[in-house]
Amino acid sequence: MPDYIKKMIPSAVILLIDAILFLLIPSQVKVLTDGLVTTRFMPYVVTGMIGLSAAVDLLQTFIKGRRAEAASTGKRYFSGKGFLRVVGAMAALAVYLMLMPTIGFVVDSVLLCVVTMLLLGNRNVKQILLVSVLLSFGVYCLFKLGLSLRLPAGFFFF
Amino acid sequence: MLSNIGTVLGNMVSLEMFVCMFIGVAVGIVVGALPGLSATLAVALMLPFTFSLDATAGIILLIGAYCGGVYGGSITAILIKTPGTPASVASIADGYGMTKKGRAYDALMYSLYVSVIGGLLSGLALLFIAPLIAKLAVNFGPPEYFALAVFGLTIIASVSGKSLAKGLLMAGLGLLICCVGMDPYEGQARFVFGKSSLYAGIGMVPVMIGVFAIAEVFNQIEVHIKSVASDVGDIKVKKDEKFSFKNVIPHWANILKASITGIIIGAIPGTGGAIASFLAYNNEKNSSKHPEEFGEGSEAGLIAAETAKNATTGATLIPMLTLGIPGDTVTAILLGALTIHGLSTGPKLFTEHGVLVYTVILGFFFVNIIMLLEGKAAIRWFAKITSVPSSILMPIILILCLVGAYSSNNNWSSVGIAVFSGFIGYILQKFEFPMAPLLIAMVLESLTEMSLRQSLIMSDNSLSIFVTRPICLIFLILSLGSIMLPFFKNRKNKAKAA
Repeated sequence: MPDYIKKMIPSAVILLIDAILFLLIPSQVKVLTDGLVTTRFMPYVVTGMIGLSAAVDLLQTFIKGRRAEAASTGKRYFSGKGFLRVVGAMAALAVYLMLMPTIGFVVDSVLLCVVTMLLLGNRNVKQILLVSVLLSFGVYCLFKLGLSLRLPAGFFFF
Repeated sequence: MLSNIGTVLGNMVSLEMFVCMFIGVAVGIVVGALPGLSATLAVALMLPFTFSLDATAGIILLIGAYCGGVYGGSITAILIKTPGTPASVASIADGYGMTKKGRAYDALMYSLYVSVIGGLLSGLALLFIAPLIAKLAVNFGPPEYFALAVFGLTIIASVSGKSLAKGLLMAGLGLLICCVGMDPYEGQARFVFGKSSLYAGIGMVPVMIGVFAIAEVFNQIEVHIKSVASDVGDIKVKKDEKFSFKNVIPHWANILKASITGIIIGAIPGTGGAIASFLAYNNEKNSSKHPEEFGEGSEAGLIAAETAKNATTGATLIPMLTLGIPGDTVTAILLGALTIHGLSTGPKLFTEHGVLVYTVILGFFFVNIIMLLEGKAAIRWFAKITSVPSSILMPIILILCLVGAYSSNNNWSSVGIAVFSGFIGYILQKFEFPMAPLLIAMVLESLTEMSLRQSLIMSDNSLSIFVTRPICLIFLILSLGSIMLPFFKNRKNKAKAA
């Protein structure tokens, strides 16, 4: 796939989502009053702005890409294994959010910290455990006791 | 004022005052540096401690937390591309850019010095011309606010980088995100899709944490950099490395312009450091002979943003002290503290409690000087953060960001928003979509929409209200100039190159 086509993908996706949102405005935004500027004014202006900008960006990228002397291919925006690590981090964060109400902030954060350090290439077991435990308890103490911010408690009351 | 100067100085010279200032600034810097927390939280945290202090000491403690908090957000923005507060976002590109060039220490010192200078200049404005500025600020009605918001949005052209279309697209996304939730005027739900958690809208802080901080964590996970220092080379601060006031002097024109921007914007209720810093950055870039350096580690860009941001601190006190109008949450807390201590707020504060007011103003100067001393002592240690291995630093940043996102409205859905924003930000940045326009638009959306709708109600749907009011017209002309200037400059440069 030529590089300029790959570059067009994000704007194309945004344009598609924007078009869907534009069509959803009448159902998602109710209007109480009449006038020049109503509750729907800003959503229409904004979706129009996004659509226009995305279309211009697609056009510019397409024209520049076609004009280039040789259509280059092979540019990689994401490194294969690296992107898999990022997906792994996203999955870990999703699990972190789901488990939080059950196991509480400290235990959940220890687990997240362990996973993140492994994904970042740390293989020192002592370091991983020490950092994870100290960080989670430290943040808990700072926010709960120091800043009086309530954090979810789990089975162990923290 | 002059007749009370002896009393005012006497009030200031006490151990209680100095302890309050030291603690306030220190707490403010630490809280402001933590992503998701802010100067507002620092001030709110210190408020209960003021109950046992006398009124003046209590207000000084809060002002110390405020000034420290506003400055503190820059530290993490410069060192690890993670803004502590929304007002520090303008400093990321050039501050972190300097860090990547191995100049983290210089960036931190520039930030500290110009923040203090901006704060001191705003203190002078507070002392000498507060009533004049207050009079100007009070003349701001909805049409003027709308024109100011439009002017602010034109900065997008400046921070869009290579592609204006991408910048406008991101600004549109920012505006769209702010449309989610209750319409600010009629209270109608927009784009909530039946989810109760979306009725409160999508907060700016979780999105900011996501697109800047969490996206950067994902980036580090992908590329496996050992540490920021290993990426840029050794940035260890040498013991004999010196940075003095002399380094800042060549930038005096930039500092003065940015201070004036910060003072004027700060004096207008409802604006704040984020708008001021971006406006000053934009102004400096437009007037620079080397605008291409902005966003890549330019000292001038960092100085403009940092000066303007801290120049708002004294200016926000102007409407509060002269008119009893809180311009933002921090000044609302300060007014609350005055009320708790039995002081009447409003225009009579100067006449009925003149000594207290001038003690607070003088204390503002001392707070900025103490911030300089504390900052200088701590900066050598701050710079060491970049030597910490990424496998240790990134989890720390991640956990702090998640808690910071949570603390913005005590709701775990904010954390989900931050994580999702982080993933989207990570992907979009790969394709060179700039993030600054997203944040500028989010900061300005509610001001833009509310003021537009109020203006049209005032004028019975006539758009002429925007051209018949002088201040409004001036801002609209400035907006036009702000958009056209880069085009003319570009054409001029192309003509020169040809």
